[in-house]
Amino acid sequence: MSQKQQRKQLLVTTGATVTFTKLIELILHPTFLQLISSKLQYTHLVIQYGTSSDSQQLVEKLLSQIPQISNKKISFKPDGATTQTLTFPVTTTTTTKTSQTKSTSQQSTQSRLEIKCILFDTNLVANYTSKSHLVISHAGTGSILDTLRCPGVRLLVVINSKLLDNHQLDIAEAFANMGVLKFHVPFDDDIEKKIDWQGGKKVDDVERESFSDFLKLVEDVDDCEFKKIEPAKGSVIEDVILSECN
Amino acid sequence: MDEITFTLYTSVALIFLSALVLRLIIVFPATSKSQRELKLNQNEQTKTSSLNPVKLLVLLGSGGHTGEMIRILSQFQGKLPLYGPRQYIISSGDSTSLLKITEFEKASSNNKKQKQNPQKQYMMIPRARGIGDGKSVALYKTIHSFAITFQKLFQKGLHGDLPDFFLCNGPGTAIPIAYSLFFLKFIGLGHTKIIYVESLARVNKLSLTGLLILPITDRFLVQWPQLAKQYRRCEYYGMLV
Repeated sequence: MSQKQQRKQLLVTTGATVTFTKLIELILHPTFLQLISSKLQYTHLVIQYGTSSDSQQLVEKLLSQIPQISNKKISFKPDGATTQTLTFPVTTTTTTKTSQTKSTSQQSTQSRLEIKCILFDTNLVANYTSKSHLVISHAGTGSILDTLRCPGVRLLVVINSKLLDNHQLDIAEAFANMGVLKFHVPFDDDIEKKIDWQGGKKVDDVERESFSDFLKLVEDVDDCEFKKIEPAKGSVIEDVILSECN
Repeated sequence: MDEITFTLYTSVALIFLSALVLRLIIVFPATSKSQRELKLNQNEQTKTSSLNPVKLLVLLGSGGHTGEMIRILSQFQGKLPLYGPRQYIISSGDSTSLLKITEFEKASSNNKKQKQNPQKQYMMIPRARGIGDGKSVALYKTIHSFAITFQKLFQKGLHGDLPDFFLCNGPGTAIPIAYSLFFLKFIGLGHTKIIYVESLARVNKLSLTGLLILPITDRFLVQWPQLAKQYRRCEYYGMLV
């Protein structure tokens, strides 16, 4: 067993401008962080949170609510980046068999997770996407394509139901049908509190269920082999123009 | 008015009207017989090199539209002989698109495949609608944008400088440009063929821009097979971006 953990990176990308509050809330949740660090053994988490000013406030607020960070001061660099390192207890159960006795020892180790939050990076694909094991992304076509065109990177898309123009769901469904990604539609209480949700279930319960669905999905995608997307055929446009030249 | 002058006037008017209709039929892409079948095997490359170079005008809409267009342009393999610089249209104030395209051009000038056109031309047109504009402001800005677009293209037409092809993929800014080019073709000033690529984000339905521009496009490409089945004249060859 190697003592040193292998680098395993998770990238979360919310798009350049619009604040995707729900996605950032799902990620900077202690339960989620615990899951990816101690169970799924991620060592690095990169969150690209977007250039609007309330995104940064949201990140700061959520970071300060994480128990391991709460008493520290969170400082952002001028470019909007901040790095925090968290540790989580891991209990590994090892069973040692000797000829007479069978002893089970519980070892308590710690897993480290480095969280790096960035505003945006014009070279996101080269610097982060291509080096990640899993990408959790908003449903913008640009972000989806960037990830799908990186070989070996798994993709989980989270739909932003606050966006009016919701082709996001269409496109996520279409890609999911091709078997190249999976997607999650989060429960958004701002929108859905007003609706009588699933025959009188409590909003809190539904939200909790939705969150645990998300956690299950992350575990699922982490260990999933997706189909490869077919290469882009943009050079067809050249042929189209040429065929019109006659 | 006696009967003879009436007959004279009406027949002149009718002849004029039918001439207009005839002209419309000639320039209308839906009624022209262009081969919409593509030979996707590229064995006939020798033919292409003997072709006359073409003038290409590309619209960089904004955000996602610009992104998709650059993804398409980056896949060009230099099969297309270009005459003069590649021309781009950008909305004024869209600094992101300008930045992206200059970066792209810098990168592709090092690429031998796309060596042919070191010079670029950028044309700025006013935005049709800013975010958060009221309805009357939006209406005024749209008309203003349409007028400026038409004026700029008309001047190009007078100099015989209109492009051979206009390549666009939305958003709404494409409409005034495409209809101006179509009108200039109608009055005989230009001959620009319009090629529209629907965004990848449109899976089950065409965009409003797509629907409005469809009748005057020479070729209309979609990126999901179900769209090609659903709408006439839409072509599907796979994902383009």
